[in-house]
Parts: sequence; C-alpha cells; structure tokens
Amino acid sequence: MAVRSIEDARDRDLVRRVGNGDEQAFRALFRRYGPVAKGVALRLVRQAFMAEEIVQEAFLALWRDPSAYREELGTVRGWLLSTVHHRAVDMVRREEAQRRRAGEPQREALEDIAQAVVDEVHLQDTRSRVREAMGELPEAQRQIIELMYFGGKSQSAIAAELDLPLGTVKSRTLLAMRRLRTKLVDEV
Amino acid sequence: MAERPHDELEELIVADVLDGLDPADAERLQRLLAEHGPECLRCRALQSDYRDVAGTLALVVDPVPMSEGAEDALMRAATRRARGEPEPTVSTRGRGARRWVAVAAVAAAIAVLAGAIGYRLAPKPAGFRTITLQGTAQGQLVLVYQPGQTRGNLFGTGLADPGAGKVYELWYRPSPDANMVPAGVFTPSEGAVQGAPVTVGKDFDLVAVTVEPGPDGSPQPTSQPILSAPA
Repeated sequence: MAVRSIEDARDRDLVRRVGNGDEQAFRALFRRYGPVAKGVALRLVRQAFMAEEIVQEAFLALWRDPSAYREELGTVRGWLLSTVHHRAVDMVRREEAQRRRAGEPQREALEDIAQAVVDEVHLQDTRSRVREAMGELPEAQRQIIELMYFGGKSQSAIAAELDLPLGTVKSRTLLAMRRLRTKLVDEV
Repeated sequence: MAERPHDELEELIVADVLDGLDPADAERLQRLLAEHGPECLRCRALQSDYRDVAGTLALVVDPVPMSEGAEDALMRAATRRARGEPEPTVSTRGRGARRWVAVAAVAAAIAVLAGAIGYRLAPKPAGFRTITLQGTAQGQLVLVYQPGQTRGNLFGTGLADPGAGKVYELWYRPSPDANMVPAGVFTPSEGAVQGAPVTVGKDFDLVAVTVEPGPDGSPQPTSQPILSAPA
C-alpha cells in the first residue's frame, strides 16, 4: 500500500523499530501522538487522568504487539488515534451503562482541557485543514460527525436524540465521510 | 468475476471507524467483510482510507500535554517484561486514581459535614488534606489534595450557577508574594461539584475561586474572589 506522506513513512519506520524493542522509537511515537491522543480521549471521557490512562494503555498495547499495526490498516497516525478513540468510547459507554443500571442520573461533564502548544508544523497544518474541512460540511452532516466521533454516540442513539430516522443518520454519516475523505485523505 | 458491490459496506465502514456502529450493524459488517474475503482490495482501501479520515478528525481537538512523568511511567510498564518483572497494566494506576477520587470524596464529605454542623470530625484518610473555601458565594466547596502532590479534586454542594458563559476558576498562590496561578475551571451540576480535577502547586499558601469567562477561564483573575481559604 502506498505511503501517504513522509510523516507516515517515518511513523512506519518507528513502529518497525518498536517491533525490534527500540525504546527511543517508542518514546518518539509517544511524544508525537500522546498529546493529540489525550486531547481526543479527554473530549470523550472528560477526566484528565482517565484520558491519560487510555492513551497509555493504547501505547502499551502497541509496545507489546507492534504487529497489531499493519500497513493495510492505513497510516500509523490514523490507526493509533482510532485505537485511542475506540477505547475512550468503550469506557464512556461502559460507565453510562453502569449508571443506568444503578439508576444514577447522568453526570454532567466536567471540563479539564488544558491549553497546549503544538510544536509540530505538520500537525498544525493538518489541524487547520481538518478544521476547515469540518467547517465546510453541511451543518446536518457535521452535527452527526460531532455526535458520533466527539460525543461517542452510536447511530441509533443519535437518531433517537435528533428524532431522525436511522437511515437518515446513516446516509448523512456516509455523505460527510465521503466529503472528508476527498478533502483529507487525498490531500494530506 | 464481477466485483461485489461495496455500497452497503462503505456505509457500515464509515460508521465503524467513527465507533458509531450499533451491535447488529457491527455483526453485519463482519459478515460482509468475510464474504468479500481478506484479499478484497476495495474493502481494504475503504477501511484504510476511512480509518485515516477518522484519525485525522482527532486533530480537530487541541492536544493536551501528558502529565509529568507519564512517559517514564509508560516506559517502566513497557519494559517490565524484559526485566523479568510481572506486568501490572497501566490501568492499575488508573484504578488507583479512581480509588483516590473515591477516598478524596470521603475526605471531602467529612469536611463538608464538619463545616455544616460545626464539628471537627474524625481524622481524614491518611495523606489527604482538605481545605474548605468560604466567602460571599452560597454553598460549600472543599479542596482535597495531598501535600507535595499537584493533583487535587473539588467537592461541593449548594453552589449557584456561575452564569451564562461563565465558569468558576480555582487559583492557588505559591507564596505570599507570588501571583495567583490557575488551577482549573469547574461548573456545578445542580449545585454539586463531584471530584472536579484541579492542578495545584506542590506548595501554596492560599486558594481562591473567582467567576471567569467560560469555557476555559482566564490566565489571571478578572474578578474578586468569591471563595477563598488559607492552606
């Protein structure tokens, strides 16, 4: 599968070196993507120490089994951040299920987002492009993406929340992701 | 042989990479992928491309620095096996953190109750200290922390809503001649604050709360403290 960018090539080399037990390569990956991953996890779980735990466990899983990443899964960045996102969503849904079973009211989210400085020009540039791409989505599609990816909600939960047919949620998800794919994957 | 259609697969894959698939659709996705087989290049391209899109979406959120020592803790956990040591998961530390919050909640509950009825109750859990903030604001707010540590949690009851577009912000003063340092923002839920995490200094002589513009507060107080207490 074609390497999408120089950054991806470097990341793949780092993962390969992690497979050989290279601690410096592992640290390099953690420094590069740890803060980004923590930001994503924090957006979902709303507790800094839980977000950090999720990130650390994801990286620990990579250290223990670097072969879990395969090139056909896409870029290292995409795979790593998707792994963290998946773990964060799992945790949020487990806690919600536990609260429902215990009959507890929903906790209001407590924000604990710290201001961070991005010193990677490439990540800054990509961040601007992603935000621009999200901003260009029709509001109805952007709302679906935000609820699903940043809110950790399933399609049926979104359909219920927005009082929309499930099919509408599915089609808007697809349309939004097609637009984003055209904008981001082809250009990054 | 004609290529199998991928429309339904694509619809399922985009939701899958966003972690938005319902269980029945997740099963459907696995069945379809199995039908297409692991050598289906179109399936692999769809999954790869959309996973990259999802990963790139993560960049919309601002990065958040890992806590001090996180990298070294990760390396210690990662290299335990090489050193022949048993492997606790990082989640052990996480479970410890959750127990810490639970213990801190007990300590805070004791402090709040003590404040409400005017008694000093039994000693708090070992290593924890509580500071009950008081002032012009209604309600009670307690900071629970461990001396020498930067992690703290706030617990409170009966607090008023700070107002539209506003948040409460906790500050600490490292020394009498120092400026106030931001420790974190919080918003009560139905008057209650349940373990809002804050970051205090290892040493401080004063904590205070002000009302600041939301959602992130201010780098320096822009209003008079409504709650405060010496450390």
